[in-house]
Amino acid sequence: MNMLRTLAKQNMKYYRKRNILIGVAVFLTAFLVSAILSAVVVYQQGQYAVINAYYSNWHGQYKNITKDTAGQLASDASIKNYGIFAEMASTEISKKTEISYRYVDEKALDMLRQELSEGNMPKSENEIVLDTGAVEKLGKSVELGSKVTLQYQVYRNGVKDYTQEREFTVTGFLNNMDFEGKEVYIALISKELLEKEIPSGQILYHFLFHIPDEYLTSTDNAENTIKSIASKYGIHEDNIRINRYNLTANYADPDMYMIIFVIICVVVLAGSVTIYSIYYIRTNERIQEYGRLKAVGMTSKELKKVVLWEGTGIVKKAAPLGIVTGIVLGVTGIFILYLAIYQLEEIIQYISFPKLIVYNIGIIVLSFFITYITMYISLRKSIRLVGKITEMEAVRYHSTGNSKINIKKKKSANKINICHLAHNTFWNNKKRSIATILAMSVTGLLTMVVATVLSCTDSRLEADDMCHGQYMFRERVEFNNKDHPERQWQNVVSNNPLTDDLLQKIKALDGVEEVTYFKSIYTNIEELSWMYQIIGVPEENKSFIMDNIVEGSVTYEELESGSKVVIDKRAAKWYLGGMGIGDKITYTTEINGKTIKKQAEVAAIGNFPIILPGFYMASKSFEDICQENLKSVFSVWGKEDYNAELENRLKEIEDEEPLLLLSTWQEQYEIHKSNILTVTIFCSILLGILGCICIMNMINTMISSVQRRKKEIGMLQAVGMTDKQLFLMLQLEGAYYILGALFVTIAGGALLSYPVYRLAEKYGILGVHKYQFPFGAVFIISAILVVLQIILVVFMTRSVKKETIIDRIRFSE
Amino acid sequence: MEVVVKVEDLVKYYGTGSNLVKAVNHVDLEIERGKFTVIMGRSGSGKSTLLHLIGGLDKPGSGNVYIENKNIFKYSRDELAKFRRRKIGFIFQDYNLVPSLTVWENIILPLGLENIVPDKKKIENLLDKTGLSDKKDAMPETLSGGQKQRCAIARALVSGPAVILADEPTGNLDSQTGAEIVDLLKQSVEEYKQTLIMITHDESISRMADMVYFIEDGRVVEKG
Repeated sequence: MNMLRTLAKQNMKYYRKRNILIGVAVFLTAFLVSAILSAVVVYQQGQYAVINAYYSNWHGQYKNITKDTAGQLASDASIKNYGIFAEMASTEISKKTEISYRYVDEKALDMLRQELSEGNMPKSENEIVLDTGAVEKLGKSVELGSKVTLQYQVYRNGVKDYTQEREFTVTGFLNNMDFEGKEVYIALISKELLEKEIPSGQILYHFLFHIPDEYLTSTDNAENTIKSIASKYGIHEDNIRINRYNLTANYADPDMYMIIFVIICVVVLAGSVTIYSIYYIRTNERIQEYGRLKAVGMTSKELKKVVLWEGTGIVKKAAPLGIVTGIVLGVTGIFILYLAIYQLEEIIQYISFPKLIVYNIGIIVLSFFITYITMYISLRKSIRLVGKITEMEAVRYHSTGNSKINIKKKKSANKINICHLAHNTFWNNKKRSIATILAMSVTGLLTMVVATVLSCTDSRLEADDMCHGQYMFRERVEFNNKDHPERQWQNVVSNNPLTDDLLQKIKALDGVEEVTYFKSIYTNIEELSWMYQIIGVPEENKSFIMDNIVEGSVTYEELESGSKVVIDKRAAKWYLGGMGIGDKITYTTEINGKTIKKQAEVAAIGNFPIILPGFYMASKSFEDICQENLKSVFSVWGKEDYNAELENRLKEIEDEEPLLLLSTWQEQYEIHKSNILTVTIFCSILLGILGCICIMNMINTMISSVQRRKKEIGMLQAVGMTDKQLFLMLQLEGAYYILGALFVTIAGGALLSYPVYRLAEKYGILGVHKYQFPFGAVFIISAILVVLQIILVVFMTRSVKKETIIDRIRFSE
Repeated sequence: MEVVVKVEDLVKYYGTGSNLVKAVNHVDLEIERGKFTVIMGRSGSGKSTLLHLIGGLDKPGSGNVYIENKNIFKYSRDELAKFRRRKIGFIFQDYNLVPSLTVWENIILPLGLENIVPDKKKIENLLDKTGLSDKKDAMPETLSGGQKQRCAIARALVSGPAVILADEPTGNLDSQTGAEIVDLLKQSVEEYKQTLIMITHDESISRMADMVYFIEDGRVVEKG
């Protein structure tokens, strides 16, 4: 046994230069595995710390339940602890800012991660706790114990009632909290006031709770428990909220493990294909040497052990270096990211460093194990090959260049040239050539898939989806707000701010190219039991509807009748209950005291901006319904994507008119661009490292090809091949591999990426909705391969030149 | 008689100090056109190194080799390669055929490198002469040793070089095949007025030569 180990060690030393390539591939595999694992672990720990520091910690929430149901839930054994809150009223400060008046019990306050910065919770009906941000917005000077008069609209029977006024005593302050861009400031009121303002039967409570530890074995288990409790008390699915942030932060998430598992599998695949390819060539080159070992009495089993130990010897040397580098870079990268986003000192208290150390020790062991497995998978074929060598075969084996050529006879070419020689070298060993091309194409295929998805996520299209035009004005329609009856659609129509005058005014602004409009009606659609907006497209803009139809057919004239409707593909799938061509809708609209009921058939399905509602007709079809101004959207088309001055002018128009809402294309574009940039950077790093592994394979293939054929090349030069011809021949041979790899990458990548694109489109991943072939990625892959090949051939030709022809002819003699 | 190969004070040493090997040690010789010259000597005497230097396959420490009055070491690498494919034909002991090319393709290889379209008739004659007519589409791996060497001879002759250098061409063959190969070579050079320089241990072959050089420790110790 010692002799075998010594032999493996000596072989490693002897083939040190050749083992460098394998070592680099092992290093990269170990690096990638450990960097991914440690980055994920540190990112998760950081995220969990952020979640535990700032986010709500309830597991489940049942919304809009009655007091009785809340009481029953409170005594259920599946509920560990709970808190309740209820919304009483709101005050609108501006179009995007409001104060929400809530009764929140102390347990719920804790679960919502809100705490009083000073003072006490309100007890009596005139006591209130205010958000410091709300105080600032109200422009009032308030101190603890001071009196403040506030106006608010109470929610009664699902309607915002008329504004009323009350004087409160401020008993405490809450820290400022922002929600999803819209500023909602919380004001805590007493239970007494809640019950006084809203009749007890009408109060809808929100029940926050934790479930016992036995249900927290996994996030899936926790979700199932929350859902099953809800079904026990007849709580509708729409009223169930699951705090996935908290659950995934603190409990095992099978989805997360699955994603990491898939990524690691990809790394192992790329690594093992490369190491396998390098090893397989090396083993073939050393068959005679293995044969000699067998001839002197080594058994197949012992020979296999030597090959395995040589491989694992490389793992022992290269993997620790890769693992340490991976962990250091993974951890550092994530900490730099956190430093850029969060106040580290605030979240650091939630990061468990002993846990991180234990995890990283686990990562070291796991990464080493995965790298070892990668090497073992890569070596299996070589080990099998070595096991089959007989003494005589091995001694007889001549490494004259190309390993065994199976062709006995073929039609000779009348004329021979450099292209012919390169062609022969490639095709005489089809199996190995194709295997090499496939190995080289692994990263290319992955890059194509990722690049396709990324190229389909055009930020411009995404912004187009969220804003029709560079700027978009919409009416501010709101139902059930007694204080703002003017926002009721029927009232907006009679006092519509989207007038022809406004349209002309906007058109006249500097930087505006065109202003288009849509009309719309609000209807109750019987089949969907909800209120929906139907968009009416004017004739001058009919191409908007006709050009975007993807299924079915309809003429604009048919749409004018009001009996045909076109629906949006995504809306149909996501919130119109899978409605399709031939389905009927019965829509009822009330306007000017008249109720109009009509029926329409879905005639076609189209791709329309998601910001617009899902139903489309011709605007003429609304003329029977109402003679009023039904314009609901102004799309402002600018001469350029963004014009700060124009935006300011349009914002002034929005500020002047309370019934107008403005969206900007640029804002949506920037948001999406920044999201895509993050994903692109992450994917590029991952693919870049995977690419390095595959480039190792390419380097190995080309160097081995010259090494193996040293003698043949020497002989070709002996009969008169010039250095230029040799350079050309090697370039052509390389070109075969490059063209092959590019063909597999482009054709295979296109085939593979299309279903992935369809999947991304189906699930709305990254806003993918239009297929675009990734020409950029193809160009980059091609350029990298071609440049690399040229450099490699220059390097190899120089290395060949270092030896005299006779040295090369003598090679392997 | 015209001197076709002239070797002038040629030196090639390997190693340094106590490991210094004087493979070719101040050798001078002249070989006339159309003659069959044999170089003999013990293993390690430097005869192969001398032949490789004459063919420009190796670089000397000092000295010159003139072929048809051209000092081959004055050429650049590419010029030397071109000169070699036009003026010198090589035959090696272990044939050195390109395994991925057929017999026909191996033979026309020097022409291909020169971008010359081969004269089909001439190649077929060459195949006839070397007894490989029925093997023209065969791969080298399927040939016997004798057939491989015939193929190597045809390749050396195809471009009509002035000098043919043969490094123990019969070393891997049985005596009968070896004799056939030498006959074939001799007939060919006589027919095309070429100069044949051959390294061999075989005294029966040396008896067929016009001139024999004996080499010992890198020096010409005898000629006759």
